[in-house]
Amino acid sequence: MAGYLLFYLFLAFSSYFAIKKDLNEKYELPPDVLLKSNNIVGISVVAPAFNESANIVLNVKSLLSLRYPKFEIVIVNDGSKDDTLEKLIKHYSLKKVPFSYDEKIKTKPVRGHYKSTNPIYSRLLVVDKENGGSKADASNAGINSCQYPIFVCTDVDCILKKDTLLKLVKPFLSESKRVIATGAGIRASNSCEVKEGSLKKVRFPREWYPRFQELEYVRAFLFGRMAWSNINGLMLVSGGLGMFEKKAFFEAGGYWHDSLGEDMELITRMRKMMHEKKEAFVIKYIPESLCWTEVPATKEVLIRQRARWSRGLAQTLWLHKDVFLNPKYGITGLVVFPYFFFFEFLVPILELLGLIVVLISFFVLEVNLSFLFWMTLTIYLFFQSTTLISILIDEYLYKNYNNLKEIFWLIAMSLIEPLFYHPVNTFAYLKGYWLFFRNKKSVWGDMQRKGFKTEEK
Amino acid sequence: MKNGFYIEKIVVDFIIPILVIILSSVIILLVYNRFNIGIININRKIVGKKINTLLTNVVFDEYSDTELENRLSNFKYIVPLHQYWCKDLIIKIIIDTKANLKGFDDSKLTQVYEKLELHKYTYKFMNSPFWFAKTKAIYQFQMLDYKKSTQDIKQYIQHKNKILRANALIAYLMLTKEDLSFLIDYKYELPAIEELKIVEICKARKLKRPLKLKEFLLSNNNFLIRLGLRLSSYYNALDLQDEIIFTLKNTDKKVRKLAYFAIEKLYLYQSESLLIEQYCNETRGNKRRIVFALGEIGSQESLSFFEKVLERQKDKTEAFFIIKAMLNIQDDFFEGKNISKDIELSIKHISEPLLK
Repeated sequence: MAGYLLFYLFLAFSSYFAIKKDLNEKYELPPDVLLKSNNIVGISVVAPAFNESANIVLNVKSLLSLRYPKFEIVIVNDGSKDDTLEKLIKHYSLKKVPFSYDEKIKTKPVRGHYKSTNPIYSRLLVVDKENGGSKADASNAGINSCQYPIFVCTDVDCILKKDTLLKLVKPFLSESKRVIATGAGIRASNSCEVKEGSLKKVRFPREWYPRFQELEYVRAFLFGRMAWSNINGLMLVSGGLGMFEKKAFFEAGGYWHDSLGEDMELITRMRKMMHEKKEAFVIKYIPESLCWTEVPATKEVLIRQRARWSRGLAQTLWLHKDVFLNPKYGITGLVVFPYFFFFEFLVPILELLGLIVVLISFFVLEVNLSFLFWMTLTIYLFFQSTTLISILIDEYLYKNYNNLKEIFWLIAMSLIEPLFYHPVNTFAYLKGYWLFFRNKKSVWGDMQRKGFKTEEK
Repeated sequence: MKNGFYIEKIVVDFIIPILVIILSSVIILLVYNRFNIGIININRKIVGKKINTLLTNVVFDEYSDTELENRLSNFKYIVPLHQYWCKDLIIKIIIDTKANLKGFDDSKLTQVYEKLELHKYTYKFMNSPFWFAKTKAIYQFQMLDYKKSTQDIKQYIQHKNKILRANALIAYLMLTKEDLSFLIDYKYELPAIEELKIVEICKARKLKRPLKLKEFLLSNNNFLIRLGLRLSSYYNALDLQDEIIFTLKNTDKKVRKLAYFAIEKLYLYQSESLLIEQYCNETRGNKRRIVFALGEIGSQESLSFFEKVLERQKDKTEAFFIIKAMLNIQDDFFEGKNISKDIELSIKHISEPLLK
């Protein structure tokens, strides 16, 4: 237990230094100077869509309104069974065009490429393909079709801050080492006010599960990923928002079609490749929330999502087991990979075993109840502290919440999280491991979305 | 059991009280911080309105110096000027007003800044021992277009902290009309983002071409060579073609990439053979840049070269760019020729107006 606590303390300090570094540099960029540059590197924004008919038009509009001098939006219609493509064709006046498609990463057949006849939407490219049964396949088709050397992978329903591209591309232009990927914080968009696909007002989620996830996201991004970013040990850049160097992406082989957690698996492979080439590289995280996405609102959908994540974790760890404690892979092999094994993969199993041992001990052994109580309380207080410190940092820096009531809600949610939310999460992870070891197939696009609260005109 | 007893004692006597103190403090800070934000937001709204009214009057009503003095003396009593947040707010509103006042005389705003002694506040940051505080001061001076700070900023251009020196350089260029040639003595390498910013500043401020642009291209500092190449493209420096071509021999691939770019932009036809010669030894990214350049400056020699390369080219994307360059040199090159389906599709793609 001491080891776990000490490692978390180490992460806390690392995160503190990363955030401080970012804060110290906040006056670095004169705003708007680069927004007029025609020499700046171009960026492709790739967003796969599967049965997104309800919101696709507004989602694309939102992506097209990003502020950056040179970018394109590549929407991949992954064989939707609804009228996603028809709506895009109608609203954006799309026309099928002859396209020299270079299938650098093998995907399901691409049926065609579409461009708008309206010059206002000249940045939009729609790729229509047969359903490949995975987000990875759709993303690969989009990346095969995109024209710029850097691309962003996002979900079509994600709402990005207008200056997302400029913020994510900055490390690519300013780091002395080769930057292969960057990422930023993601937040829950449930209950946020959205107007025509753009975020109008950030609101604290009203439903219980999104509220717990809000806490979880802030903690994971500010406490975890920033810490790893500081020591260049990031092994996960979220599928919701990640910027990648196309060259490194192709060299690594792109998203793996059969992956259950394609984002983590891709970064692991990219890291391995760079270590094998003995080339210095950087994967950076920005402590600012740049993306809002709808998170599961019910227990059933949450369990399904988390079970998929945990299967992805187990699969990636198994697939790349040669990295484990292998000095050839530097920090990835000696620190990051073992961390994911001991701290991410094993923890749900240890929690279950711990519970079983405690229950059995009650009947078989003489349990020191006082000792058990104090140790449990210590862990509870420790994790409460880490969660609330993350919220404090977030509130202090970015002031994402509207009023005192929301802060009280966050504190209350944090206090009850270990009792109500954590067991559900642990169950989902264990279920995912079970499904992984039983080799069950998973499908993408199974998250039921409620859509946004759209402001009335 | 004894060990367990000691651990329990340490946990109960030390660790739990410490954690309880940390947790309670964080909760109190969270509530206090939010409470404060609420109050500051209300105050900011009230004070913001007063500042906006003052600045609008200052800009649009033509106050005499005494009148302005009186207005500002009164203003000092109606806002909490001793508070840092208030000073920051006034500076922010002055910056925003300046940005929105295109075509108006904004010297009055600088007067307000000085008469409220906000420049002393900014100088406090400038004189701080912490580099990040200095960057805040530099940022404020730069955004306020406060020319008097130019020399104070210049001293940090060669500072050992890379962020501070980059910020100082950009701010200095924003504030001064000094010829960029002073950079010839620059001893550091700055990242690509600063090169882009400098070019954009030259464009926005319509700065004259540096007198020592030639020396930039011949410098030992690769940052200066890269900047020189970017500036050569921007200033259409046709007289520097020999120096630009000379940079093709540089060992830094980024320098060579920018050299190909400059050759393309300046249509340096005489470098065609040299580019063809360099193609085989180049990195993948630079090969593509050579193709783009030859697409602009190439002749029959390039077409013959491309034909051979295309035959061997396995990469469809690279082949696409070669075909595009060939069509750029001679748009009917493939007409009447027996071509593969891939080349045919590439031609259709290139000819499609919606994909241009």
